[in-house]
Amino acid sequence: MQVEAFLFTRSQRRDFTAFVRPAGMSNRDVSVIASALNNVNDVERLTRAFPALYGFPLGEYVYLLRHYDSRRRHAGRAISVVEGIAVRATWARHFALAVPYLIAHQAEALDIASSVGDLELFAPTLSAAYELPEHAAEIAVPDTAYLDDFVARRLEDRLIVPFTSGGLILMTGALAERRFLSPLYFAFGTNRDVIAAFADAGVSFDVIGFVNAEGAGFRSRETGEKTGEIAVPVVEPESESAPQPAADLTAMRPRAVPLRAPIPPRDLPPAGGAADVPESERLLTMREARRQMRALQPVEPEPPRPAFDPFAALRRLLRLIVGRRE
Amino acid sequence: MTLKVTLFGGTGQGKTCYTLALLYMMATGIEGLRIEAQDADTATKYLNPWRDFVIGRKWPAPTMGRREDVFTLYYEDQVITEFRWVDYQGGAINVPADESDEAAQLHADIQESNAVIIVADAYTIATRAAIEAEMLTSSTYIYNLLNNYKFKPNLAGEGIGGGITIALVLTKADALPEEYKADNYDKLFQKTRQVFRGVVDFVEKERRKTSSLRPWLYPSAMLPVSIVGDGRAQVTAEGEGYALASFELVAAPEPVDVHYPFLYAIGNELDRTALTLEERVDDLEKRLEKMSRNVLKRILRGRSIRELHAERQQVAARLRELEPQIQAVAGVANKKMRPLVP
Repeated sequence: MQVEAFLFTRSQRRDFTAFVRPAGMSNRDVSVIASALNNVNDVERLTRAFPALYGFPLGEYVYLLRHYDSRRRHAGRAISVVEGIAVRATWARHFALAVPYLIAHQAEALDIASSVGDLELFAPTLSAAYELPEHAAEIAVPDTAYLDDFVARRLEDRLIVPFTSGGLILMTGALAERRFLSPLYFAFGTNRDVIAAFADAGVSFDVIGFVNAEGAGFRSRETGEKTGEIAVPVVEPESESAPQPAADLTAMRPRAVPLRAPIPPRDLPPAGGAADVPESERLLTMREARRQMRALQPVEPEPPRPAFDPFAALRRLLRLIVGRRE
Repeated sequence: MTLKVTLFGGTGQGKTCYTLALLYMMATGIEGLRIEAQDADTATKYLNPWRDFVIGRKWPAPTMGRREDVFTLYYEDQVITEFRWVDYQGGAINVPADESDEAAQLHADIQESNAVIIVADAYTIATRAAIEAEMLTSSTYIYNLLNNYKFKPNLAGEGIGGGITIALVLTKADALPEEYKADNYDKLFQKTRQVFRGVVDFVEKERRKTSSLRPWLYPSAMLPVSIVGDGRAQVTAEGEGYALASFELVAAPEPVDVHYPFLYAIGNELDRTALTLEERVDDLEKRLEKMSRNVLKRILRGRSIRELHAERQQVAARLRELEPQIQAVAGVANKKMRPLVP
């Protein structure tokens, strides 16, 4: 699977910028991510070991990103890092299968900052595409009833989980579920303002882990009302060295499994939906249509102007005065 | 009528803190003036980080991207104007427009803005060499943008609409060395004029022009403000190189003077509207006088005269309506702000 890297943070010299970005990622896409995550006020709560995680499509790519406090400071303020990987939309189905494994191994798979060396000396660059070994993962979820439920109600409801190890298990369990017809998109360790900002940019999530959520359940996509409750798995105490959510993601203990069958990348139409029609069938703009119409009309030669006849003009004037017509 | 106010400045200068403090202060009202966000959620979005700042004693996270919200300014429950508030990450100034969407939008926003609020760290201005302060406050970049989009007459237009109000907010004034606070911040103002000399020189040149309008199209002023209040924050690390000084909040913040630069920007732009209306009244009066010179003209053009007369009354009424609003806003701010050009 071909992936490209994304790293968005700031150094002392350079304000927030995409130091590494996929080749096809536009400035607008960078801005959408930055402006949405700007709504996280308490970034210190997000650690490298237990970061916020986002998986969503935007522009030409599907992203898997983590957001955490770098522990670096600028003018006394916490500097956050948004980093991860992206795949072209043609690889979306491959990627969806790999996401649970990548989340469990986010410490290595999503670590881009370590690869750039000294950020103060690093100039923004485009990421080269590189091959990522393909793994899928099975997530051990104590009770899978919520998955049956979610498969049935996905179109109407979102899965809401808390920002804890238990919430993460519920989310990755859903991401690893193969009965969903299309990939699930998620925001874990987030708040309503971030979700609203992404929604303004046309990004919608199926699974949301709110920082302030205490329990798990389903909520209506339309009204936001709670439509069901789910028991949050209790993570074994020995795996939680610190109180949640500072626990490590390895608490999930996923089991890597090979992909069942290789899936060839699918040719998708270009961004914007349907594929191009042949040039001869393209709809014309108003001006193009007008031009075409004018070009088709035969041009009539102008009749020759008669030479000026003062007597005829005088006659016309007299006729006008006396009101007689020819 | 909606005014567009763009807030910008170099990175780490205090734009976010200033915005949060301003909206907090103005949300409940100050000197009869009050700001209301277009919807309750917008207000909450600004108040939450302010709460974390006050209670958690944590500086708000540095801004990523751009933020635009619409607010309404009230004076004793009477709507004065709607305004669009645009806030930027500092780095948007220092990046070419083709490298960042924020940079491209900042250029467009400055072009469209009625007023700009430039935020600069007074502590950096006071404690760093002037040339370093220029770079750290991005004053040269700021001048470059204003010059390209607002100062050049062929771009800005020679008419009344061609100008812009410039309010310079000097943040972190509480931490200034005493010598910079003495004589009502005289030394700070002197050094600020040096650091922002591009903008200052432009306004000064405009002021020297003899045209009846041109010298007044660029109202410009500055004010030291404090988000936390005197003695409520202390320096934990002095700035060096690219790093700015770091501060720690040691007591609950009490913002000082934060609302004046904002009111100055709004008040002067309302005044520009009034100026446009006055010009219109003058023009209508001249046309009426010309049309009414003799009896024959008055008979032949009676209808046009009546229409012009009605229009003049309408414009004059709008002007009368605007007058107390300008007084309420600019009257408060213009007393406090200090001129950028002495």
